[in-house]
Amino acid sequence: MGKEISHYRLEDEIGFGGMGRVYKAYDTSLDRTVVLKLLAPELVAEAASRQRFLREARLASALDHQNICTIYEIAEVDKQYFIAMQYLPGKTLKKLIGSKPFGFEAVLSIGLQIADALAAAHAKGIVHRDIKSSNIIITPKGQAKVLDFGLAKLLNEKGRATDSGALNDDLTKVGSPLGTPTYMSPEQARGERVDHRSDIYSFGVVLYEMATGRLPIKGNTTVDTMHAVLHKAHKPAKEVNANLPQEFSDLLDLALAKKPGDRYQSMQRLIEDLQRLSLSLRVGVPDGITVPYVSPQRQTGGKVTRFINRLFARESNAETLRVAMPVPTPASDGRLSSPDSTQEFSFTSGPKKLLAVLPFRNLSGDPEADFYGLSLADSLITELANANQIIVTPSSRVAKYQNQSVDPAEVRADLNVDVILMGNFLKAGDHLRVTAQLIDAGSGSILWSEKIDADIKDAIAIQDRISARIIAGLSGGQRAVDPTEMLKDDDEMIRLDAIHTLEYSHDPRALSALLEALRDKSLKVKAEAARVIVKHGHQATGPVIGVLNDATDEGDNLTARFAAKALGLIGDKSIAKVLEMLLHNDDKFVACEAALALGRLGETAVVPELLKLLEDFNGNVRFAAAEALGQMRDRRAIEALKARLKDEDEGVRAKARWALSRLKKVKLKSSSTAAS
Amino acid sequence: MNVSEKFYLGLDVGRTIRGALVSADGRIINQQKVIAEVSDPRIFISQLIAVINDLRRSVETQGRAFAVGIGWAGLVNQSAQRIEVMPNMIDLSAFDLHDEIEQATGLPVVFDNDANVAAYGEWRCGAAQGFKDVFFISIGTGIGAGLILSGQLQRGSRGFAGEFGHFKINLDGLECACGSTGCLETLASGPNIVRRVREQLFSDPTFSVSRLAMDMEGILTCERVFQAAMERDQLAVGVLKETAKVLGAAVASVINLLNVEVIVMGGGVMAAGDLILRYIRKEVQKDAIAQAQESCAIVMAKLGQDAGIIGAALLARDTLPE
Repeated sequence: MGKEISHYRLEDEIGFGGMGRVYKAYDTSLDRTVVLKLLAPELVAEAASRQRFLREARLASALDHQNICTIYEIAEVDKQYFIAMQYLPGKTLKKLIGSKPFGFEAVLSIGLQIADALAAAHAKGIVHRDIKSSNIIITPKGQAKVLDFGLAKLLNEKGRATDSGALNDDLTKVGSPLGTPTYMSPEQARGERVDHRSDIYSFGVVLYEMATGRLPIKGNTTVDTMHAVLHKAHKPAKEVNANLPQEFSDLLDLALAKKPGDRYQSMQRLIEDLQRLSLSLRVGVPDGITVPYVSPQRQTGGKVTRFINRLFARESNAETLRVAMPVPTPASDGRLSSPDSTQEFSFTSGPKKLLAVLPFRNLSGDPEADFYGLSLADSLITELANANQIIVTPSSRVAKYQNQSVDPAEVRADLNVDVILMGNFLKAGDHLRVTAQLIDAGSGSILWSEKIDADIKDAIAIQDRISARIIAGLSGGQRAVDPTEMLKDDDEMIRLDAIHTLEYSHDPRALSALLEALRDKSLKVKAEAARVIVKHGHQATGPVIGVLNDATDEGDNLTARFAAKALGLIGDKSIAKVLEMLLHNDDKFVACEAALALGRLGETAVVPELLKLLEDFNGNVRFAAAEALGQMRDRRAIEALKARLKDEDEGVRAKARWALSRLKKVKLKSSSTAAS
Repeated sequence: MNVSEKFYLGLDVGRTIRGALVSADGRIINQQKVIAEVSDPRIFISQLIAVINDLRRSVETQGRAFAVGIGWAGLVNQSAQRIEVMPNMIDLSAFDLHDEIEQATGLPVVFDNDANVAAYGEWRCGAAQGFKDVFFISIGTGIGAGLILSGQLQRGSRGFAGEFGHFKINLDGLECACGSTGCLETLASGPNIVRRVREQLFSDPTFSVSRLAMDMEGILTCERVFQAAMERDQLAVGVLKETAKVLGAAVASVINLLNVEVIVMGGGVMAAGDLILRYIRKEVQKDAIAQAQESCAIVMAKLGQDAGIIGAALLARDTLPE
């Protein structure tokens, strides 16, 4: 030993795996012990793969969280890429578990710390992809630290998966990328694209392991295990460890659901449920291992703070239940269930329902076809008025909604109805295509959906036919339609309908479905999805970064553009670093969106970067840089903007003039302030 | 061959110097185009003189050039025949260009604003031929206009009349190159149309409906926007309609103010043709006084980019001694 790389002196080799060699090392410039991972050259031999790795790893290094192992540096010396990270004394969670379950208090407290780390990463669009108990270290002070964020993907790409026999649970021995198939989500096992919900599954496995001392799914071989992950149900945790609360066992079932859409849709929701459980069970000081009671972030302060924290947790739960979000609620069989997605609806039983039939929206772009919208609705209102179990709002009160994009909640407030029938129609030549959905006005979920194709020659027959189909559809008991299923329809119109419904839906799966729609092959669907995603605000930031990263890796520039646009319009200040990296994206549109977003955020630290972009060969980039500099009103840009007044691109000239006029105002303002 | 045929030289000077040798009846015999060297006034002046001399030499065997007319993309002091301002281009205010060109070429020279000479061209042998009261609008990099009343080109007391592009259309609008804010030019000129398209591309999440957004390489020009509009691109059509709306409002004011017989619309932006003219007419119908509007035709310019060079040459023919 004693070999030096950059300013690190290698001390002991502490691991070897798919990623390369791992050393305990000494940072001679900062006088501290670090862990140095020397990446195997074949992992980063390809320029594209190296770029992707560096991007992911730099993103991960921006994570600043007490339960995440800090990455200090990612660098290259003589073509040797290495990662310097925090040295953590302690043991892996795998070793601490052994094969005995933890006390429930310890499960909750360690679980909350890990969950908090994952939630923070997900909020920045980083998916771990390799969450397992051997990737989590518990320090002597009881703090959980999650390792290797952003690194698993590189290994996955290179297909360096080792079989389970080659695994080593010593955290210092890196590698085992796809590693333990028992921790892998079913979608990951199938080799499909994964998002943050895959981490939620893997985290569920870790929770299960802590709570029962066993893994939920096991097999004798890797193939065997993967088959079980895909097809076999786990044994409920309560059946393995009878001491566990039923609610916790149910929570695990939800985290370990085979389909991502049936799982918790965000780590934050899972955290809220864990907190609710810990409060309801009045969990005291943990036993077994010394760990903080809950996530350190929530545990600072004295008794009063804790009390307030608990109050907040309670309020958050109350809110969650009120809006019927994905928090599992006890069903009649005592199990947890996600209320929106499975409820049954029928007009033929229960009290009379109040229904509004809105004019159908004309998607033809032909104003002459508008009358179909009103006449279809009118004929349905007449037909439905005869049904016993329905009270229908008269046509005169719904006419104002013609060709409007409506929020069911607003219609509910305005017309005082329980359910809304709304739809679109497209007239092409002699052909009429009508789509209709029945929406629960309270939750916004789709109760029933139908597409009807007809010949336009006999308008009355069409109306009768549509009425009959809709009445038949309304009469039967209906389960809520899964909008994610609608998004898989071959018909673009149906997919657009699904997005319009998701816009106002409280369905917990809405955001995930919209993110998937961002990858749709239709530009219209992509655009609508981006528009609706922006409405989700900051909670969409992380998942959208995930889509952007995947799309960039896959060379899917169109999806990357829509993701970048959505990201820029959400305008989340916490992702300024991500946006700064996007300034250098190969796709110019993505770079433009990043520049504009930074301008809107007023990130003056990037002014030097923007000044470089002002010289870019692409006129759109110069335009975006001028716009951003104008927004920032930073006087360093004056000279460069003046030079753009003679730009070959006329739009850039106009934008430079605009930006300069804004800067001039700043100058006047500051000089008048000085004078006063 | 008639070696004594009379020719006139017409120049249209902006970022590009366009020159033509024009027959006495307004036909272009020969023409030249040079990118103006705006970084050095001396080089710029020598470019002008070279264009004039090259063109006149090209017809030496057929006849003789008698006079030179030059239309400038800027403010021309008519009485002093000096260039006062050429926005965003070059400062020529310190030079006595008129005298210099006359001496270098030995030909009489007349200066005028570029919109004025284009108006003159359209009036003499273009879309406004035969009318007495004409308002010509040129919409390109900037927006200018020329006014002919009772068969006379109107320039105002010092020659600065017709600055149609600086009609205040929005009290809180963008800063204009003229130093004011909210001028018509800040919304409807070529660069500002491109700017508005880009702004929408970047700020509207539904931008994808536009094929414009799909091609992010290369230069986005007005021509591309119009081409997209003709292909029913929603974003491009939207921008075009908005442009027509502000232009229509301004044109309606002109009709209300001057009661002219014809409004001739030319310049690069009007290359969108009927697509934009239709919307402008619709807006005018809404905004102008009915009686004034009924007696006023709104037509496309006929001479296109040649209006300036033909007009400048014919202005020289009609106003300078041979």
